[in-house]
Amino acid sequence: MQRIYDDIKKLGGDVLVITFMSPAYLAMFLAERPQPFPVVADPERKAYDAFGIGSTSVTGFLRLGVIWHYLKLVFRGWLPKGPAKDADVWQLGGDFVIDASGKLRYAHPSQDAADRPSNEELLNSLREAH
Amino acid sequence: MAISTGELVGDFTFLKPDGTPIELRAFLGKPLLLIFLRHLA
Repeated sequence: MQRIYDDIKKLGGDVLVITFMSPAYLAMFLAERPQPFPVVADPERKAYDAFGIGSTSVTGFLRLGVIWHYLKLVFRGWLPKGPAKDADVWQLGGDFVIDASGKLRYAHPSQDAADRPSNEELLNSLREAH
Repeated sequence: MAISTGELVGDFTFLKPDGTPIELRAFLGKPLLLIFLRHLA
């Protein structure tokens, strides 16, 4: 994410990252891993619901593409940590672009834990939102 | 019913890490990429 943040800023756009974790947990996370963009909490998941972001399941985690995604991360040196206590491991994420007037221009609610759009797709959608 | 592309998103209230509220509209005015995370780990 940080890799394309500069490209997004050059395009005149910005980034807002949203988590469903509590503000207290978010503060602890950011103290350990500061981010260059704002990160806010939606613990009641009202925005998650409004944007149509769903949950996955055990079978969703066992898809070949998901397993391969996490294996690639491990090969790159990522060491999986357990989720935070009380974290909902089934909650999915998503990527959305809003234009300056507040209209939704791009929507990609994740279909499984490894489903993310490419950086190029995100940058193109931001260009088109101008 | 989820928000569809082309629709106005409306406003949402989020919480900053210190617990204070902030509205989505505070971030509007330029194209904005919203990234909803899975759990933080």
